[in-house]
Amino acid sequence: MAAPALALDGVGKGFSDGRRYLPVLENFDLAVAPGEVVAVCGPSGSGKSTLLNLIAGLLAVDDGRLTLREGDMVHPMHGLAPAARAAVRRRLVGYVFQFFNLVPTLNVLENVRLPLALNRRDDLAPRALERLEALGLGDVLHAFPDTLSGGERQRVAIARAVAHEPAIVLADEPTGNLDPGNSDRVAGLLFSEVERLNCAMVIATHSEAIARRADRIVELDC
Amino acid sequence: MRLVALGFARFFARTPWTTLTALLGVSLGVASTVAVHLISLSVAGSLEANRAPHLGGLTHLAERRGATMSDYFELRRRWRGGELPDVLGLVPMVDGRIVAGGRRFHVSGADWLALYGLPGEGRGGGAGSRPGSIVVDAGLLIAEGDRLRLGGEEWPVAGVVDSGVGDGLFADIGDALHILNAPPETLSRVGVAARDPWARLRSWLEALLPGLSAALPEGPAELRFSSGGTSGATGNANVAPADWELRPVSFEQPGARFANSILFNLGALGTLALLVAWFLIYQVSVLWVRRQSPVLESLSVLGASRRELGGCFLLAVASLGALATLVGTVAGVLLAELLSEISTAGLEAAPVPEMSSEVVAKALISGVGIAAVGGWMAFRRWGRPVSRSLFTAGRLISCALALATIAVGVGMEETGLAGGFAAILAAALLTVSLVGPLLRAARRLAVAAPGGLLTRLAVREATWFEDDVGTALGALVLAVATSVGVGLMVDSFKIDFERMLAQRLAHDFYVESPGGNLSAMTRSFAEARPQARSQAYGNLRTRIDGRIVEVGHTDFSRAEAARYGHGAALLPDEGLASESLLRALNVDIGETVDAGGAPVRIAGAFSDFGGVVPRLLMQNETAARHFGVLHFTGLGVSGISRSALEDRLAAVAPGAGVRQRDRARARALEIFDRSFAITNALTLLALTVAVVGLYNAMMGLRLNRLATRELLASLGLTAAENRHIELVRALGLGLLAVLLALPLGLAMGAILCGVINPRAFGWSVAMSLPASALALPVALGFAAAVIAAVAPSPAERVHAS
Repeated sequence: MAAPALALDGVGKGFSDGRRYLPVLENFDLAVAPGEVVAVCGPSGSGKSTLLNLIAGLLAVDDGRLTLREGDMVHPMHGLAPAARAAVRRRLVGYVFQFFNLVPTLNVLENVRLPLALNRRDDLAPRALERLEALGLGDVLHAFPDTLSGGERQRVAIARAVAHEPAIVLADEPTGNLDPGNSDRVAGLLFSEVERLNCAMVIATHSEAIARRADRIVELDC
Repeated sequence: MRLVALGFARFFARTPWTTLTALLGVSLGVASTVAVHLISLSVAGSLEANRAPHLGGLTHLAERRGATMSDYFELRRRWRGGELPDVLGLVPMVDGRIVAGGRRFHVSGADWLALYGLPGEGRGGGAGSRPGSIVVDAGLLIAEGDRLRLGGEEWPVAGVVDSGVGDGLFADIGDALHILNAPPETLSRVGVAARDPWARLRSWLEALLPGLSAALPEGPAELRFSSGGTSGATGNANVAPADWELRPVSFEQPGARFANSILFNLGALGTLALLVAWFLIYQVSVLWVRRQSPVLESLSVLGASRRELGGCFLLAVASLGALATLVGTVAGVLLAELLSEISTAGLEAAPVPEMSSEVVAKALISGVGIAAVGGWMAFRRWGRPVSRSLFTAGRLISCALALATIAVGVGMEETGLAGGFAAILAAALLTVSLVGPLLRAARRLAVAAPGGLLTRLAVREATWFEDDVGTALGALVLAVATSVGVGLMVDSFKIDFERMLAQRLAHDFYVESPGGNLSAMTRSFAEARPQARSQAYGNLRTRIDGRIVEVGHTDFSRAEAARYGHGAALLPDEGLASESLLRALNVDIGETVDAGGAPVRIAGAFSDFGGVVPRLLMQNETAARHFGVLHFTGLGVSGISRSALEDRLAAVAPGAGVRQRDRARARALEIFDRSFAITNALTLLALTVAVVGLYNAMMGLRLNRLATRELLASLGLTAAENRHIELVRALGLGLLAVLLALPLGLAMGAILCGVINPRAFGWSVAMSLPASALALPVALGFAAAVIAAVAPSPAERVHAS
């Protein structure tokens, strides 16, 4: 196996409600190779979203080691300050949410160019435009999110997640808010984009159909 | 429904920062109302205490050439016979001038018994002129308890009032006749207490806010003073066709109208913070309703009626208003004391009155009222589509009404102060109603905003969320515009005032001797100090067309006349009129007035800011011809040292005071600044409430942008980039506020300078556009937006990364 794009080694994370500490992940290990897709399944509250947020550096790990790799460069995320984690995240991670999460004040093209602007990678803009065309969004480039359908919005979200060609794509229930027809189409596009970029993907899902398309399934228990 | 109400209460508790800012905003609004009311009561108390005692309870004065006491008795017989139905009482009065102990006195006497029992009698703060004692004007510099020897007898001074007459001495009519050495048949005028058709409204308005009744006409517009019909009214002067000439008693008290106008202006400005607070509570309620919308919808599905839900919401909001009232009332008392301290700068002033049930009720109505009305209006919007159209019938009608109010209020002088302030209010509401359309227009422009993607995002966010920021932006527009308008007025006024001081204070020193005659000293100077330049000034009081007018006289050479803006030396029988005199007598330059029984041609006009009594200036010779003996009370001296001047004074005019020009100027400016301290404080208070409102709106905006912020965080947005977005958005909002506030502020300034000032005080102020008056409020507007945007909201904070 090639050096993993992402590695979690004995990671623990929990939350406190002010009176007691509630562990969500304990001593959790995971390694995902470039080009590999891992589906994370489990009931609500099992820690799927927490795992994704830890990988993205939106949350800090309590215990263990978490590293992201970019070519030969290894980025340990554990012990980093929020700003340092944000700097790694903006370059290495693409995130797709369940509820589309487009910036309402930016149009389709601008939403997709946002990660390029943050990474100062305007050289990738022509390729991002191509992907938008390929995703069937060529006619709505200057439309604002509130005028798009759910399927269109999620396709924009996918285009944005891969625009800066990240090492890892994280998808949190990316089809959870779509009808079955759109769900299949969006999932197909997401998988094909990840394959095209040969990046790692961790996808949290309740959908057996999507989980079956992954290279590996990780089950989380409550 | 108890559970629903409990749910709302818990919602407030779970959004403590939003609730606290709403509480703070409404509390500040209530505090401003309470403070202004208490200060106004204090000023009104001083005013009442200084009312000339012989005028208490009177509304008019009736005069007839050659009238005697027999005429008064005849008039009284007709009144008692029912011929004068609108008259409540008649009081015989005498007045005249005497010189005693080297001082001049204007003696006024009224029948104390006839005054007794009239409505408003005794409003002279206990300084009434009872038989056997006298009351004197503060201008005479005589203390209460002193004794004066007049007409061969000693008279105890029972009280001192600042009636504006200057050398007034008030006594019972019998005593006045004795002091004047006049025959018992003498009668100067008859005081009339008439039924005031505005009495109830006047008293209601005064209870609402002291000074507010200044917006009403002075006394009865028309008075039936003869059985033959109504008198013909000319403005406020009522002329009885039969044989008596009637004038409003306010002619005798120019200072009272002046002070009432100040109170009215203060009250109008004081309500501003309350209006801004109303915007705040409305905006907070809109936010709460929107955030509670899913709950409301669930409850609606469960069968709760709109009325029940609305009732519970209003109960919760009104409870918040009640709490704010409590906090605001206590803060208002403290604020009143602070403002009183600022405006008097440690000088003796009437104490701030104790809290009364009236003030508490007003605070409660303000706090709970605006909370309930704001909450109700916000709740009304829930579940109903909001029209975004610029041209709805309601909007067009509102605009037409606002424009009509502005046109009538500004164009028709008869609408008085109320008309002027209604025009300002209409202009403000009209401008605030433009916030929504402006945001929509700006939204279209923001799509093509230049700059980086994050800057564009921030610029668009400033215009995108009308529901979140529209109301708060309106409040900020109002506060900044008021700051611009009031600032323009005060600065323009100050520029005129400084110009006037520079013109008038031409000599190095000014010698004042109110009781003495300085003409001898002038001669003495001319002989002993040929290098010194001196000029003697005299003044006296007379009546022109029934009004008290101060006549100033000196050697009006070309240079002296130039200080009053007149290009040539005054000719015999020519005069310069103060702007307030022209307005009071309704005359223009070139016309003549009857002064001292002979005509004086008005050759020019001058501004006389701060002069309560209308003035007419003339050559010494003209004054001597019209009024007899001249009386010099002031001397301007240049080309001599202070010590030499004081040595000379000790020899010829012991007791005279010397003021240095620079000190006199500094003192005048200090008084000017202090006069506007309360105005500035109230404007600042309104701006503070606006900042709180915008901060609250920003907090709501942050909460509504939670998903966007999470997304931006997932893209690796740093805290610095997030601050950049917040800052650019705040500057965008500040720019929008300033864009609307500047024209409104300029309009407010123009109305204050050109409409309110002439109507309130009789002088117009040439509006200047000093950079400071514009720059400071504009900077404050931007600062308010930035403070509101970047201030942390600990309890409901959302982290960027």
